[in-house]
Amino acid sequence: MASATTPVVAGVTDRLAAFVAAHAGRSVTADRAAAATAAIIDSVGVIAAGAGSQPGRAALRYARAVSPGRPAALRWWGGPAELPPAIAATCIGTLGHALDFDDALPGAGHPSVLLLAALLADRRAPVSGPALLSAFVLGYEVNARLAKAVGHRHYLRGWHTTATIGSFGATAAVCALRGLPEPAVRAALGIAGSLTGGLQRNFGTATKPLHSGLAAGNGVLAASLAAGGMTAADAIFDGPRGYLDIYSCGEPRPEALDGLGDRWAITAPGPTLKKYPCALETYRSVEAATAALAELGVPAAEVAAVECAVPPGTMGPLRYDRPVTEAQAKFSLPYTVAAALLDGDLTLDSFTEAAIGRPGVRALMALVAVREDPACRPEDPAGRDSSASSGGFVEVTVRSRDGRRASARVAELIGSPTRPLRWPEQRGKFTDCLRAGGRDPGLADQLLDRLRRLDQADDLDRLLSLLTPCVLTPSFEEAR
Amino acid sequence: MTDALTGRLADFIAQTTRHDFPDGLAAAAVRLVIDTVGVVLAGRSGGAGERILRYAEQACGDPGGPTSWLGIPAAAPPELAALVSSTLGHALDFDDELAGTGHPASILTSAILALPVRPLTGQRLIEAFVIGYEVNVRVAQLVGHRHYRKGWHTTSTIGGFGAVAAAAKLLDLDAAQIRTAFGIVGSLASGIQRNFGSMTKPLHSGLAARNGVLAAQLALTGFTAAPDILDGPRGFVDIYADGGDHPDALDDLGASWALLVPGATLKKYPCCYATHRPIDAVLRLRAEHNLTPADVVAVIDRAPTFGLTPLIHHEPKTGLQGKFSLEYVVAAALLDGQITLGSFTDAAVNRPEIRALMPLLDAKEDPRCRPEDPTAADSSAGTGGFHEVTIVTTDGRRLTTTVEYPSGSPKHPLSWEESRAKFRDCILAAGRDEVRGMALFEQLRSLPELTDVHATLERAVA
Repeated sequence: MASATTPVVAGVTDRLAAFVAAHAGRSVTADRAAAATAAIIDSVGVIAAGAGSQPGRAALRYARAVSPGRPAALRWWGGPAELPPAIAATCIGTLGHALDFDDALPGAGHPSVLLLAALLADRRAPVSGPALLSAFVLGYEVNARLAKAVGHRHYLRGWHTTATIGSFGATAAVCALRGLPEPAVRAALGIAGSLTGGLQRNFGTATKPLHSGLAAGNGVLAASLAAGGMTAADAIFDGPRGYLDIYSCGEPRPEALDGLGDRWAITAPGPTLKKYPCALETYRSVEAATAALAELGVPAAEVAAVECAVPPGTMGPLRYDRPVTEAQAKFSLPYTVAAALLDGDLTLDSFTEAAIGRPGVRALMALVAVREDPACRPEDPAGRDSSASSGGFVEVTVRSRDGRRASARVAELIGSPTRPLRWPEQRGKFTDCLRAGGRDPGLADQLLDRLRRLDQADDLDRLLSLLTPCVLTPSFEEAR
Repeated sequence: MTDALTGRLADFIAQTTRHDFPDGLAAAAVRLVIDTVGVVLAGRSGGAGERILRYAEQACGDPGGPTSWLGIPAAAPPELAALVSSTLGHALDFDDELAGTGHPASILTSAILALPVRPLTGQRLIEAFVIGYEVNVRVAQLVGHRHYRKGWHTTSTIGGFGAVAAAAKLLDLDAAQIRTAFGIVGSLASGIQRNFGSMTKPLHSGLAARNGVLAAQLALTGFTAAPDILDGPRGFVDIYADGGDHPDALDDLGASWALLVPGATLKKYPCCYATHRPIDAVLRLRAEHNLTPADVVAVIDRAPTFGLTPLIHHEPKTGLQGKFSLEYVVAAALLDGQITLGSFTDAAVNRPEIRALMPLLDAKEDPRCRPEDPTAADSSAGTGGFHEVTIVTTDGRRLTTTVEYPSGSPKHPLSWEESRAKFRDCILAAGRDEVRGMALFEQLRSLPELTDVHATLERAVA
């Protein structure tokens, strides 16, 4: 079996470049196509929704400000048609991550939106459904493998894997779409190795969604430059002072490439589609708290204390104990738990500044206590092999004013492959997203009907043109 | 104060104006800007320059309208113009250098000229340049030298902070906006030395300029970011200093200016700075002793600790690799008696007579050659200590010389005549009209009086 062979320790670059070149343009199996289609549908929804967000509006303003040439027609995502593809990719990726509502692959960040953004950035070359699926699945795989190869220390150090490693996923995807030969793929990966930035310090600001856009833009830039003959290092990932050495903090894991081509991350484990528009690291606490409150059977006003025990590392990205802005609230465990207890659910409406400022929710937040507890991840107490959102379990105890208490424990994330969102939930989310992005939600079924038959589409830009803003809704008006 | 570093730099940028500059500072900037315009123009003759221009052409389509001095559509997005301009500026490895900071001048000049501020007076250009330069140097000092030793390319990673400072000054951002722009640029910083010797190294310079322009414009467009990107645990300095940070680097901010002390180096040779001292030594011995390659049986270079680290190409195949090959430049200096832009074509590197000379080099780092810092804990590859070069001749002589400071460094600055010769070399490499090109050189000497720098540049290359 291929996966049983000894890994070539020095050959991460060799293996990935050969893998991308060899698989480019190959059609994908039905199960992978189905998984990728679900992720792409979800991504289109959140990109559309992003136009209604503060970071999304800023990205659209930027796109219009720098677009060369005469005022041009708009594209489906709301930006001008004449924008250079790398900049378009940056803006689309920012829109898609703006609400923190896009899907995730725990440990690898949020690859789907940035892959789609990179692949659909260049409107001048029509992209068919099968070509999109093939390149998407390949980019997803490279993204997932490299996230493992760089290891979780990368994230613990303070980098945002979505941005840094996502750049390689996007590069691989665009290389595959363009059918670049192996030497050009290798050069593109080398160029991308000099493009990757992204710090978690910027979580809770508009620069976090920008990270997704930057990864997408980096992919387009690196692949385009390599296609044009720009040269780069032969072995960007390997050896001392290579990319993996530097960005893994000295602990690269080349064995992460074992079984490359045998197992595919798009189905094993497959993406986690987000149920709530906030950081994945909050999900298990939100669900456990809601369950515990339900067991107590009292309204949120009767809560006296909420105690959350979470695995070590969970709180790394959750930087805001007392959030004020939408972006901060998405990275606040106290806020998300309090809002869920008060409202029974978390929706896009939970993250308006008005919702965040409600006295009732502020009072409840003050009652939420969090501690990271190694006992919550007995199989990996230090979190070396885990992501911040998965592994182990979260346990929440809610105490009521009348002195009773109830606890609930959640291990698997809602929306993860073992607990997937059902189709009505996906459809509902898509419809909400169109509304949030200032589009007619009545378009949802027509779009979903086309997108579910993605493998038969011959031009994605045309397919998605239903989303092109033609009437200037308030979101778009403000963006101008 | 958790935000002391970011806040101090933001206040410095917002509050400092050209009226605060001591004597000589503006003049030092003018020397650098002129040198940079030359190397940016020459950049199109290099592989990376040709590729980045082609990329820009494809990325922009054909928007119509005039072209800029770079040869791309004037309507190109500013971030793209900056990317192109500074990739051109570093394409030949001929731009300026400052030990520990890298190559800031092309990044700064490119960012400033890419922004849609017109007409741009020479005074405003100089003001933004000087402030950007100072910030670039200070942030490089904050992260310290371990940053480079870890494998990052300071020109690229830290250059974005210089570029964003220059852009912020030019766009007149307030301190809060500058903090935001810094936060964004902290998430853009990238560039690793593994790409040295490839066209991606010049791209690093372009990326730094692009990052500064992009971050400043995004901050103006309404993007938010961390206001304290440099400070505290898991901030930029913590992550990128690799444990070697120098928080005292801002202590005399505004009182001491890096453009004056230690001052920039204008490169005499279009190759890695770490090769300049051995090149000076070989050319000196060759001239003093009238040597020809046939007289030489060995060239022994004893280099300061870390002084050979960037010189990773021992058998270069391309002109670009040749810039990072001590074997090659020593052979070319012996054979040709000079190192010019013409030394770094693929054909020049692959000459059989060159290949025959390359094995004569015996280069080793020796802590004795860096007595003040034997482990190079705080030193960069091209400066500090000395190179001791010995040429052994066929008749058994051992001719030795040492070089502490290379030509073009503040200790041995280029004369105006040498600068003019370099500018001419650049104009000719660019395929530009020599008369108009050299007229530009003279006009730029009066940069503080220019009222529309873009127009001056466009006239010269039209």
